[in-house]
Amino acid sequence: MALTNTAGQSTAVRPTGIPKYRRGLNGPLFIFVLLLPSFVLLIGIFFYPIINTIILSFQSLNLTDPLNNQWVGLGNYGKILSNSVFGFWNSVRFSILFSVCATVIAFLIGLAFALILNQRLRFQLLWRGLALIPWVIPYVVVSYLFFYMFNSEYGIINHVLTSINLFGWQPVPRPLAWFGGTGQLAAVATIFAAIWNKFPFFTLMLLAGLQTIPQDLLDAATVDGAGAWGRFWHVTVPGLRGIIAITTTLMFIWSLNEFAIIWAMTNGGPGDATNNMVVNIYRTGFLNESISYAATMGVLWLLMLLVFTYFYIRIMEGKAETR
Amino acid sequence: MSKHLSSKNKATNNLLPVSESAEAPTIAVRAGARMTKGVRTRRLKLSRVLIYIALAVLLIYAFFPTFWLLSTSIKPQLEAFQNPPTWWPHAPTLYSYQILPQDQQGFVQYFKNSLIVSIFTTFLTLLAATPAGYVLSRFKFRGARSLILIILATQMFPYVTILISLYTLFRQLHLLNTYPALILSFTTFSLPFSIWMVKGFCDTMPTDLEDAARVDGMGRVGVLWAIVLPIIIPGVVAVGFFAFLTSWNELLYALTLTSSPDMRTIPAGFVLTYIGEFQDRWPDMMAASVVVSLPIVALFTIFQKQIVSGLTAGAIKG
Repeated sequence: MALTNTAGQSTAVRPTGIPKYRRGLNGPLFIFVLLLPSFVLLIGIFFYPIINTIILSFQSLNLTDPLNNQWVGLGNYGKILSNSVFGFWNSVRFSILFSVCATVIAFLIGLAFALILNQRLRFQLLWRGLALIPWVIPYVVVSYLFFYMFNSEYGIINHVLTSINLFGWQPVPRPLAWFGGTGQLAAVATIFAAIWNKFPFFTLMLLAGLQTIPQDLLDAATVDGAGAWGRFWHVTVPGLRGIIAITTTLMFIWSLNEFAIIWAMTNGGPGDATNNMVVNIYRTGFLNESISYAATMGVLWLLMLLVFTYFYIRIMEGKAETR
Repeated sequence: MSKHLSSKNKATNNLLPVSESAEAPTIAVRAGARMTKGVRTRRLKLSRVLIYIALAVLLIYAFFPTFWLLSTSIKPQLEAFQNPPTWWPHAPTLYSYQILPQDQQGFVQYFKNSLIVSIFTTFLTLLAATPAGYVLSRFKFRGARSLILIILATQMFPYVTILISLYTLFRQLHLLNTYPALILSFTTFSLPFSIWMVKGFCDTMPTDLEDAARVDGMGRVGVLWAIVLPIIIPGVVAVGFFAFLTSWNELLYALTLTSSPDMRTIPAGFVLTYIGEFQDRWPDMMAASVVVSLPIVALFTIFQKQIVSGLTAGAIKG
């Protein structure tokens, strides 16, 4: 095939030098063949199940009584949205709280790290390597490690907290029951573990971004009389704006769908305290076997995330235009 | 804004040779014109000290949990339960590592499963995402823009939505409790991000070489294989690393699509084994944790350069 093309090409070459589409693997078929594997996988394993999920959300399938499956129209949606079953809004609230806290704090730590690692330091590569380790530790390991560290009887965190003694003032006199009680502390613990796992992503990205900011620009700002803060605010931040927008949006949406860290640490408990959306759908569908309610929540969650996705696409498109 | 910056950047770049050799001291002197020399160096030193202090604090935060993981893994069983905890084991032992190969908790099986699933997922992802990303970067055809948008959006979809339907689908295909079920689903989940990264990476590559090869009569397949593939290797390596990391970490679908202990991957095996039956054996758990972290740490260390450049070019500049 290649041979016949070579023969015809020399005459058909356009002024720009790039030959037009041809038949066979040098034409539209080429594009089709290269896209095919991805298409097959995405349609078969992603889009087909989504349609199936949407259908299930209008039915009343429950595995405890699978034969009694009827069309219920929007009935499931009404029940879920009015919060009479499975605490949908509670999960929305915790998912967003978890995601906002994890993203914002991980971003700030990641930024601080990136700014420092961007200075001229001794053993810079070693420090950078150490800073990135949390990122490559498997989620399940992260959650068990923090579960152990937060243990109320022999955990190191309680030990450190209870030994704080500033001239007689003890902020935490007794060990905290991290995974008991009302569950607010369990939420803090999961967020803490997530932050530790996620900040290196920001460090990596922001460091790469910082290195694209020319030193001359910073020097010029210094000459103009800008202090460290002025240089940071007027040169560094504008230079990083695109990266900040993309990484925080990505991390926010990824954290909304966090499962491994929360499930391995708390199973969504105590009670429903750390029952984020993914944990909730897993519990509803697989532990309660209420298939249709789980499907309904899945569809609603998908619709909610589409709103954030819209903003993400706007950012990426804006980025493409300025490039 | 960015245009403004880059033009300014170009302008200063032209001056670079001059400023680097002769102008630099002048600038520094001008900056500190009002200060005496002694004050300036002291201030510089102080800021250096502050930077190192901040670095130390951050490094303690970043490294302490890992240290705790390592330290617990070499503690004897009872010492892991001591209150107050010991910072470094009084009697360090490798016992917890030595019993791992005996496979009491199915650890070896989990590790093997994870390795098989992750390696196949990585190859399948590369096989599907590399050509797709290349096509979406280079060819303008009808529907290309909407395809790109769909892939960008799919990247953000909550995979939990299809939890039940995918389970049903694999049950109908008799694929539950098999490697293909895990490999196919993990590949699909890592595809959108991978395609996007390859596309972004291709976008940053000049097309001159490809055009030249086409003019010289090379077919499109040849161009892709001989010209494009070698120059996008960093992007491909980064994508491969991400696919591997994703499937090494995946818990939700590993729990859902497998029920037999023989088929569990590391995350599912850990959740179902250590927290149930072996809850009280922290040093064993930590030793197993260290071992399962090693493949990723090793891959990251080896390919760090490619991963960083692939990630930044793909996800950021794309």
